[in-house]
Amino acid sequence: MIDTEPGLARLLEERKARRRQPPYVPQADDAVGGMLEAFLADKVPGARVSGVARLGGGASKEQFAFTLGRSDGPDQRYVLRMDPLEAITETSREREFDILKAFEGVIPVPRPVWLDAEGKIFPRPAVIMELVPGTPKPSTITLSVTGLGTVLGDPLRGLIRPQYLDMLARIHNFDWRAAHLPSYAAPTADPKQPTRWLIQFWKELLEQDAVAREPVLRLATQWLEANVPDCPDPCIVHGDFRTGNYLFDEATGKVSALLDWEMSYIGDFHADLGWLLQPVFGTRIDGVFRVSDIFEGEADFITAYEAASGKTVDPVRLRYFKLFNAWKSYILVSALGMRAAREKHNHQDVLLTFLAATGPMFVAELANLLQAEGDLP
Amino acid sequence: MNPSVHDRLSSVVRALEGVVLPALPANAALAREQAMLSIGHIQIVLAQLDATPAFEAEEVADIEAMAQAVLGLAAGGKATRAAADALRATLADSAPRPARARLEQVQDGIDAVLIALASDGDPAAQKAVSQQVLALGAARAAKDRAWFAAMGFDAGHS
Repeated sequence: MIDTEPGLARLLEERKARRRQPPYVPQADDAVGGMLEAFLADKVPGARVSGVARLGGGASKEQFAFTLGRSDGPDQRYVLRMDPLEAITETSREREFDILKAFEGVIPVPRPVWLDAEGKIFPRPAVIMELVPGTPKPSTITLSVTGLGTVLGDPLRGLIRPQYLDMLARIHNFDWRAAHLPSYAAPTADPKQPTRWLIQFWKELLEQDAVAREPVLRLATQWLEANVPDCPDPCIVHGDFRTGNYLFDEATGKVSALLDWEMSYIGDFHADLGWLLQPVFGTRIDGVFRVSDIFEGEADFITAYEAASGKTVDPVRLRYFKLFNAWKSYILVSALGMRAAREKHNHQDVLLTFLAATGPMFVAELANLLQAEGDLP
Repeated sequence: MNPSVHDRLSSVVRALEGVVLPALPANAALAREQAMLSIGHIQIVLAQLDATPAFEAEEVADIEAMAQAVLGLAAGGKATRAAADALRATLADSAPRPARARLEQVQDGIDAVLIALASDGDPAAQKAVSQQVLALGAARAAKDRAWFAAMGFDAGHS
């Protein structure tokens, strides 16, 4: 197994066997209802499942909302998130359950309730969480692929800004050493281990799933391996923090939940900053680039983040993680996403091939960033 | 007269837009999203259809030019020389094959040289190769971004 977080190394080994499986058949609402009743039979005796409805949005998991009627309380709505055979990400439902549990009461998150970590009742690993009211985008936007380029506009920008900063600061200052995170391992052997683990995980995914050997990606991989920075203060990294991945009330701008924790890990907080600063996750209107459509440029965001978190942003590490995130993004859309679509192992192949068109943006970004570094391979 | 690819795909879009999408329940969120993505996908394919053969031929020409540049600069030990020889043989291979297959064949050859350079390449040669690959890779990515601009993701090419 490769040198990465042990739980993730096992995940990478297990996925190899799935590659040979026949095309994935998306789950039908009726079938999901039956599975839910079987799964909940011993957990909520007398439970009645109704209103099963597939959710849109997202690019990785099969998601269904449903109502659970119970004899000992009012009906309640939940969300089932279940793995397809392959997806644009390779993540663990058990880790998602653990991290959401850990952050209950720290920042707004969907409360995780049940877990089928190994897919014993459901065909694939699944997690069930409470359905949180809210929207990831203004109602004026009719179609937005996974929230990319979401324009919040005014007054939402100003209303969400302090909440956005507060959530990110609380994640990065979270005391993970005191938390119950049984499926996470702490990279504390040496200061380079957090990022070394990270690079090896994504490199292995690239090796397993690449549908083409893009030369710039090879140079980026070599550079990232040769320039791993120290991480003296490992913290929780969300892994996909940006506009589009939180729910809010459109009338008040109050954030009701931060979503999509599946790529979280213990590592360098600069990784989250490099991720949300990517042009693809911001907007450009009348020549003004807004980070997550909230902050007027990078400097505005960095200043506000440092004030909110008490952390000091290291420009060298930030540059490293900008490069890492362009590399990771390419791996997601052009390797994992394209491989899943080619193998017919996902429930939304048409979205995956659409998203793969972003690949050249990340190649261009990598080429520009590497050219700016003096220590090329 | 045989129906053209344009005629056939345009009729698929019409069916999806005029019949399938309106028939989907308002709460069928994923089905509606995928129907709209399918329509968008096909419309962009239609817009690119006539130019696709030339685009793919240019992709091949560009990757072959990168391979030639790499071969002109690569120097080093046994692994580098072997990888360079293999890439040279690939470039000399004139067997007819689809453009995408040729593209991936040459990419594989360049990748092997880059890996070999990292193991026993001459440092100056490795740096020169990297600079060339990045310059040519950036130029190629600019063409690819323009090609996919209609997808609407790329603020720099919309």
